[in-house]
Formats: sequence, structure tokens, C-alpha cells
Amino acid sequence: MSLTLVALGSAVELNFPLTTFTLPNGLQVAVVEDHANPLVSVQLWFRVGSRNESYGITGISHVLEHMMFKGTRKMKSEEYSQTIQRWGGMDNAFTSEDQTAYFSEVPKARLKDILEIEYDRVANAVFREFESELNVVREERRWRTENSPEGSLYELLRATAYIAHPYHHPVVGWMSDLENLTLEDVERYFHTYYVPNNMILVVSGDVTPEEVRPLVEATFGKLPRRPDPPPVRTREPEQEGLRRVELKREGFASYVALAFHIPEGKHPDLPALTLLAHVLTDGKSSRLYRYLVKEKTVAIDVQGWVEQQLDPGLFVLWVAVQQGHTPEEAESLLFQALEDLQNHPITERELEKAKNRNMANFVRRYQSVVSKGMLVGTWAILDRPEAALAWPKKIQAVSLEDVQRVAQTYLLRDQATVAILRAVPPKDMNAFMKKMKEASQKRFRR
Amino acid sequence: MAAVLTMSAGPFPIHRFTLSNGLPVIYAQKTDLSLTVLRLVVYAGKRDETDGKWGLANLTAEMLTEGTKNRTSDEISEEIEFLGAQLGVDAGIYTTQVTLNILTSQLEKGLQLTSDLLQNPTFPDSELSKLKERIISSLQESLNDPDQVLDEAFRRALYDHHPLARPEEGTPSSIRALTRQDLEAFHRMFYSPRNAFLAVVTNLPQEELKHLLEKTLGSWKGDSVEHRALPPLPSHTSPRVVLVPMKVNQAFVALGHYGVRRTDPDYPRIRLMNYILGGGGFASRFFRIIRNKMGYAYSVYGYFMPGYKLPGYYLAGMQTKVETANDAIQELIQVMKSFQKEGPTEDELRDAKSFYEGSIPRQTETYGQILGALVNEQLYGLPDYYWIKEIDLMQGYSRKEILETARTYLHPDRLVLTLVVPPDFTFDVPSFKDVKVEVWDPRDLLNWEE
Repeated sequence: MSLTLVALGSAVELNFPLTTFTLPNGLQVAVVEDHANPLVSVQLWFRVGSRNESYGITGISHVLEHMMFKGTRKMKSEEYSQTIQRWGGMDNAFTSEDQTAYFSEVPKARLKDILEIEYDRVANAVFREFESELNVVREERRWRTENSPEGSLYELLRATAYIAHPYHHPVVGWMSDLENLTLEDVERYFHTYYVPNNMILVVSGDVTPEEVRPLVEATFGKLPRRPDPPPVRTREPEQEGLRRVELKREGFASYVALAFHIPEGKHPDLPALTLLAHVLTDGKSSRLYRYLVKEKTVAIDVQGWVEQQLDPGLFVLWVAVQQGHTPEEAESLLFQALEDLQNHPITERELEKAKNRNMANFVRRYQSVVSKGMLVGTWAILDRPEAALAWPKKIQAVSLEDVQRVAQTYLLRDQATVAILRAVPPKDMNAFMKKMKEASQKRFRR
Repeated sequence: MAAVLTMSAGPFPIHRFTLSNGLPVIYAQKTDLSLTVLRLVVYAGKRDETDGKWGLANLTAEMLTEGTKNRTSDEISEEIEFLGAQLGVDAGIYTTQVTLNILTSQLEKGLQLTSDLLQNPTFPDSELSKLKERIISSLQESLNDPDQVLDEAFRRALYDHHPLARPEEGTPSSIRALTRQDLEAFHRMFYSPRNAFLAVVTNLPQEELKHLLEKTLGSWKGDSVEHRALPPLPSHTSPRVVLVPMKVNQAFVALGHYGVRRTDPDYPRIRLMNYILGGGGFASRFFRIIRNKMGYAYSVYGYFMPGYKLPGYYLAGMQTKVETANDAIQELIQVMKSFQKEGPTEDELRDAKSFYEGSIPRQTETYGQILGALVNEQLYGLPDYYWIKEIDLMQGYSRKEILETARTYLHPDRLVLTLVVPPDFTFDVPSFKDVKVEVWDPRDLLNWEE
């Protein structure tokens, strides 16, 4: 399958042959061919993430991801990554709300070997060094969230926008859960969700479906089918009225974040919402950048994005407030600009620019075998693998009316969650420093 | 020796030519996409700043897209963004780099615009004053981020008052003092095709590319430029400890010392040595001991950042729990010291060589990766396909040679240690027991005296 993108009046050919098949045990397999380099990426995607978690075990999907590197009945802890590095490859993993994904990139000659060790990792997992790894995860939470003002604000924004649905919980989990999780919790979770009928295997690179299939059958084909994991029952109730939340931090930077509820990732309004995000915040010529940063000079940067998820997601706007201005000034200008959008539709040129940027990004972004596999895996979770290739056409088909309609439908004040990070100047730096100096002098007197 | 070099021409041909205006071009053709990425490297950076005009190179670069004789700031962003292109400008110690990433069908328009930015910037006052405030604001906001504060503190603790420690953006007061005339003079002085080079990766064949470059950039004229040399680095013979208090609940740790230049013949063996010690992710000793065995940190790493005209630095770092931070630092230094005593094991060395050899095809998979390799070749004067040749060299090193490399290039006895920690932290690391501890106010990181 070759994918033709039309960008700026010219066709861009992308070679993106995709083959899918399903094994009797329910495992979905997607093969992406790319023969430009002698490389292959093998990716394991599980339909499980913080979306499947409840109070008491938040963060468990991500902890399990860490534990999957702790060896098998045949391999020692971390031997998996060390083996891949010995081959000249790389590997990593990530957990999000909807999925847990493991990916590697190795020389093509290692196709059989990598499938074997990936299979071994799922079939024969042994969770060693649990307590020490839990320490590592707690450090990760402190680093990424607690010591990052923006990370803390993002956590608060989501926890406020979602009150019932598990998207309320941060992917990394709440600290008290990370202090109390047990190995038994993790093992039970593993057996529930890491089953072939809840998994997608993506093989991308210098391979053919014909050579991949028997290798997959001989390995992952041996996993027995298990009961399907329980569905997520909770739905987010409709939001009635604006929600506001504030985080105060000693420091020097203030931010305003806005979130609006939007439909699930495969909903037909998502392409228009994606283009709307381009129009509002993508680049220095975008509407909000021009208005807040250049014209009113209340912000140093504006970002916006669509969280395209399995269950209804969010449209997020994120503003870094310029020194000398307040978050409230930025917030009020943001709402003004959104109101203006309801009354002054975007222009033909704005829409065309958004499409050009989206298409060019697509070409730029999916160059490596890892990124091509990621694209297919992401869509396999959201919808189905082939949807990855249908997306550019859906973007092309968006009309001015569509963008106007989604702006009027979803970006409503009463549907907004406003989260403010207010910087308060550090209280008493001199006392701080005096105390510290004294403490470090003392040690000489011992 | 491994047989990786049997492909005598390398994975793709590399060509060099010079435009009629004297601009050297290094180019590789890659045909799987209709995509072009190019980087114009102008030799103009913070080393060229004089008389307290700190931040001038950066401000000049950032202002290139804020107005020309033919286009306003808004017209520039509108035009480039409509083309779906990405245009980035970045000023460093020695160079200013303009990077364009664009569909080849739009390349001519993108080049015309780039050419206008280079030749006709007007640095309009209205945009200048706004941009200055944005830069100053983001400098202040960087004090919120412990990783950035650590970075800044480490550079200053290492280089002291040497220009290499000076923030590339300058300081709030130096930025405020810069004028349009300063920018015009800096631009006139340094932005010249004979003080620059261009690296290109595109699907276009050479003749077509040459024609397009002549047509768009050919009108850019100028002479070669003399640069002043940076002063030598201050000498470091004893350890140093700097604590920066912030409201954090972890200790952010960076320790290190001077390193080497990119062109140092020992650079490949240093990389190999460092892979085993701290650069090799899951396979490194730092990771195995500090993260996996002790559970001290999520991320722990070490790297040699090579320098261009002056030696770069070695930096090892982590974020770790406050209560055990002193132990974690001591352990990290212990790992360095024992590595210097015993060197790598046979297995470690074999695995590291095998990693590099197998990684060759992953190094030039994308247009951007190839561009990066071409820029390095040209900037540092490295041979064609240096990334393969250096890996070939690595295959020959013995355990003894890597041990000697560790002994020569690691200096655990004269480390510069910087920590961002909560104010109630008490520093107590045995390796530094006789070292006077300095405590820095993070707000002072916005000031600069040379």
C-alpha cells in the first residue's frame, strides 16, 4: 500500500505497505514494510493503561511496565535490554492512559532473535527487585511531576476536568499508592491484562509479512487465549459550568491551562479539532500566538493540542504568562479570542495552512521504522491499524464549516476547566541560605 | 578489525561544492521522500561578543525572522508556516545555525525567504523591544526548573568567569542595553557566505540543487572574518562543591570536570569507555548499580560533551531522593573510582564494541540524522563517514587501552559537584570532606561578571 499525501498542491508519495492478521489466540499482528535500511522494530502494544486503574492501585500499569524489564525464567534482570544493546539496538517502553507499549529497534538480521526474547518476556516473566524498582518509580514521579511546575499543573488540570472517569488519575499514579502497591497486585494485574487477546504486535522495517508470520506463530502463537479483561464502566458525566482550580508555587513562572471535553479518538470530529488546534496555536502566525504573545504581550508562549484517546478526551490550551502580567489577564484574553472565533470564522487560508502543516508534519514524522510502527500501534489501540493510513485523507476532507462547528460545539466557556499556576516569589531566600551554610559548616566540627 | 568499512563509498555519497559567492556546501542525496532539510552554519556566536554586549549573537539570530526590507515579522511567519515548513534559528558558542525543514516542492520559496532573512534583516525596534522582554521573561522562568538551574550552576561552577560559562541569552540587564545598531553591526560583521557553510540532505540531484542554491543564495555577498580566540580555561586542581537551594523534594546532582575537543584523536576510545561506565543506558555501570541495584534514581547517566576550539566537559548526573542523596553521590563516585582501578571486564568491552557496530544503520535512518552527521563533518573537519570510521577504530581497543583511557580522562579526585537541593539539606559526602561548600542563590544565575 502506498500512501499519497497531497500537500501544497503536490502529491507526496509515502511508501507505507501495511498488512494485518489475527492469530487464533486473538493476537493482532500488523506488519509495516520499509526496506530503506536493514532495520526492524518490534513493538508490543497492550490495551491497558491508567484508564484501567482504580483507587488504591493508581500507577500500577506503569509499575508493571518497569517490572517487565526484570527478567524471565531464562533471563536475568535487565538482561533483555543488555542483549538488545549488544546487537546494536535500542529499546524502551511507555505507559499512557490507554496503552502500554514496548518497542525496540535492531538490525534486521536479528528478527528471529528479537521475536524470541520478546515472547519469552511475556510468556515467562519473573518480577525481581520489586521494592527497589518501586523506589525508582517514586523518583520518576518526584522528578517528572512534583518538581516540575508544569507537570504538577497538568496533573491538576486533568484531575479537575475528569471527576468520575479514571482519566482523573495521573498515569504515574498518586504517591500514596506508589508507597503501598504490592507485588501480588502487580502479578494479578499482569495476568489479567497481558493476554494475547488484549495485545497488538507491530513489526516494522526491512521485513515481509511472509517471513514474519511463521516466526510470530512459532512464538506468540503459543500464548493461550485468556478471558477478555474487564471493560471500563465509568463514563464522565457532562460538565455543567466552568471549573476553576489554582496551584500556588514558590517560583518565577505563572501558567494558565484550559481544557475542554471532546469526543473519543475515532469520532469524526477529531480531524476538524486537530486542524483547529493548528489554527489557534501552531506557529508564530497562529491566532493565539499573534494575539497573546505578539499583540498583547501577556504571554511568552502558547501551545494547544488534542488529546486523542480511547474514551472522550480533551482539547488543551497552555499559556506561559509573561513577567509583569497576571494569569487572569491571559485567561481573559484567551476566552476573548475563543469568543471571537465563534463570531469570526477562520479563513480559507488559515484552513489551508493548517492542512499544509499537518501533512508536512506527517511526512517529517514518520521516517524511521520505530515511528512508523508507533503510528500503526497508536491507531490499533484507538481504532484499528489501518486507520493510521486513513487519517491523512480525513484531514484533507475537513471543511471550513466543520472547523466552525467543532469550535462552537466544544470550546464553550461552560465546558472549560481553567487551571492556574500562580508563582509566588520565594519567601526568604536569605534565611534559606544562611541555614544551609550553617548546616554545611557544622560537619567540619565533628 | 571489523569489516564495516568494506562499503568503500559509504552508505550514501557525500558531495562538496562551493557557490559562486564562496559559500561551501556539503550535500547528500536521499530519495525515499520529497523532503529537504538544510542547515546554514554561520560562524557567529557568543565568543564574538565584546564590551559587555552579552546575548548579542542570540538576539541577532532570533531577530532574523522579525522583519526584512521586504517582509514584516508577521509576513515571515505566515509565509514559512503556510509552506508547512519548519525554520529554526539557534545561536551557540561559536556558530549561529539556521535550519530549514521543507517539502522539496516548496524548497525554492523556502530558500528565497531564507536568503531574504540573511541579507536584509531590519531588526525593527518595535519587534526588538518585545522580543527582548520575552527572552528576559523566559530567563526568569527558567529559574523554576531545577534541571535548568542545575545545568546553569554546573557550567558556572566548572568554568568560573570564563566566557564559556556565560549564558548564551545574556542577562536581563545586558539584553536591555542592546540596540538595533548593535544588531546591525554584528550582522554586518559576521553574516557572510565566506564565514559560513551549508549542509543539505535532499531528494534533488546535485545539478538541480546547485542551480536552485545559486538562484536564491547566490546574491548573498561578503568576505571572510577574523574571530578572536577565547582565553584559555581557568585551571582546576581541586574539587569544588556548590549547593543551590530550591523548593524541590529531590536532590538534582551534576558532577564532572573538563573533557576534550571533538577532534581529539582519543575521542572514539573515550566514547567507548564512557559507554561502559555511564553512557550505555541499561548496559552501563551507573545504571546497573545506582538505579537497578540501589534504586537510588530513575535516571542516571554520564557523558563527554566534546568542545570545538576548547575542551568540552564530562558530566555525570542523576535526580535522587533527598534522604539518601549523600550516599548516592558517594556511590556514584565509587563506581567511577573502581572503574579506574579495574577497567572494563572482557564481557563489557565486547558488548560495547558490538553495540556500536550494530548501531551503524540506526545512525543515519532519517533526513535529520544525516544532516547532523554532515554538519559535524564540516564543522569539526572530520573525514567522510566519520561515524563509521570511528566505530571501526573502536573495535581494535583492548581492555588495557580502555583502562588507560579511564585513568587519563576521568578525574574523580577533582570533581566539580553542583546540587540543587531543598534548603534543609545537609551536605555530607565523604569524598568531599575537606572541601568548603559554597551556597548560591539561584537568582544570581541571572547575573554575569567576567
